[in-house]
Amino acid sequence: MGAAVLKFGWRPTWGAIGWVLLIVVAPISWLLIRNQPEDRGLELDGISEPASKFTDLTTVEALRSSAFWIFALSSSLFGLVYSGISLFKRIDSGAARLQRIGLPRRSSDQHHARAAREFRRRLSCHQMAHPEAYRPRNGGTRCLARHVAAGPDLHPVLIYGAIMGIAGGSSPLYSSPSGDRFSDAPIWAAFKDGRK
Amino acid sequence: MMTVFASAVGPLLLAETLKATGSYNFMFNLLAVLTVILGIAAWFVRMPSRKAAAAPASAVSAY
Repeated sequence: MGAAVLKFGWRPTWGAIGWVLLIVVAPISWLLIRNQPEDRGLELDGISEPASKFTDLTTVEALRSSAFWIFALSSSLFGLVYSGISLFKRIDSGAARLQRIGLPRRSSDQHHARAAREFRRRLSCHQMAHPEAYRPRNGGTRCLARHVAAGPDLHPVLIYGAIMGIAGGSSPLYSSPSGDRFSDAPIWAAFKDGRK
Repeated sequence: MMTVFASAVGPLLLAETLKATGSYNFMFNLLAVLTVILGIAAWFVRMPSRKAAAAPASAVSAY
């Protein structure tokens, strides 16, 4: 859905999902879904008597009760808020957000690949500037750094960041290309102008 | 059905609010008030009682 939103915009995508639900999912659901075996003239295996001495309200009786409307409106309100927030949060936290900070419009995969490349470059610089952090006694760090450097995508970078963050180690994410820590140039600044 | 309809309408309402006011605040404030009202109503609403079914003779004798 994220890719469709980026390509066609959220309104056409949202409308297409609605039409698919109406034309495909709703008829299939109507044909195949039954509430209980009795709707098909079936009974539960081994049960010949009613499971309960009470019956549910009929549809008309339920519609006449205020409890039905209050709980139906409550769950509907949740759906309304949830779908709105999830859709716009996804859009805002994705390409639009990256565009707001000045990045060119690209797919998230392209941004991930660029971020991974920049991260590996910084990692190499960090290794040269701080070789003590990668000495044999820090075998785990060295092995992890090699794995990140060989990885084709962002996932090893994310794993590296998570492990180093949990371990409390310094991360090249906060290092400048020269190896200085806590640079004020964030990682995305390196390809902000499309140099990479 | 109401839930699905509301889920479909949610983004449209938020988009129209953003277009009209430049912010989502109005709609979220309105929804917050509605949520509180429905929460209070749900707390006090009387639940409908289930009715006793007409049990078959064999089942009645078992009770």
